Amino acid sequence: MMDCQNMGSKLSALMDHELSIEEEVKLREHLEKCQKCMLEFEEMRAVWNLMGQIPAIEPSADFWDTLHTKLVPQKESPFTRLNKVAQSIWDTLKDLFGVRLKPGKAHTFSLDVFNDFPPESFGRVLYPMFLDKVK
Amino acid sequence: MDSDVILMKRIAHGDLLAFRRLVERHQKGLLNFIYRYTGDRLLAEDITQEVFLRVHKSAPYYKPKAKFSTWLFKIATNLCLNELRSKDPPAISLTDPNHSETNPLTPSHLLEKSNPGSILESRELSMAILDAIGALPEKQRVAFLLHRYEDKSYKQISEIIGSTVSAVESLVFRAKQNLRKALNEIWRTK
Repeated sequence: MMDCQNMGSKLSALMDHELSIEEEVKLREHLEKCQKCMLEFEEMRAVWNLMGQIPAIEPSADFWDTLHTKLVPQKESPFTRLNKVAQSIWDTLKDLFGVRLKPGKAHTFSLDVFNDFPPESFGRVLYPMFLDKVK
Repeated sequence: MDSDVILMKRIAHGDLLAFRRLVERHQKGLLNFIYRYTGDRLLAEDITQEVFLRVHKSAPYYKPKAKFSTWLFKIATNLCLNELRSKDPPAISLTDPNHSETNPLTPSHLLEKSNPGSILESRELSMAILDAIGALPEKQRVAFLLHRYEDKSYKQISEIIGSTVSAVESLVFRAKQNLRKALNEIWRTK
């Protein structure tokens, strides 16, 4: 015999088809005998059905166009622009001082302040130890 | 392979048509989920666009660990929570009777103000339901909306909100209980 106490979550799961077959059979047998639980189940179902009365809305006609407009400036992100500037400075310095990169010798800088950059794209930048050479 | 995953791979290579297809496939479901969560159509459209922008941005790094729609709704849920936390006071708990007396948006207040005959007008009914959903605590609201309108299983919801299946079961149950209290008067007259 099932206990009517704390039956609510079981009834909710029954309505959501989240019970195992065994649990569902047991609970349905109980509902046939227990008017109180049956009433609670019916009330839950009524609210569930009532919730279906919110009409679905449609995206606005210019949804894609607006999204597309927002997308275009992303083609060149701040990271890309900064990267280009950094690259040109680096190339100039290399030309000026004739610095050569030493494999395996590099500083790692955390650039977490650039939070608006694409995820995982600009967390760290390898920066060769050219300054020591310059000094 | 999931067709959404194929589209994501194409998007990662800059295929705009693939992105458009993905947007068209998911925009309505996503928009309605966010609309039901926020109760604000314009805000819902803005957030939906932001979700798609993030999807586009993340395409090169996307790894299909879970179902695509699970990932999509996870982004949407996080944006909804961030948006509302930054703009609104904390969600009102229907279990606290003091709140329903003071908050002008609670369903009980709406019912008191409304003519019982006119509440059955579909627009007012929709508003009452949206208000009742909007008054749910955040996680109950998300869990309920994903389950009721997006047909997500408890397991899928647990992946979206980062919780256990039993916690989701409890959230959905408590959401139903709260909605039942809030909408009691409406459905009895219905």
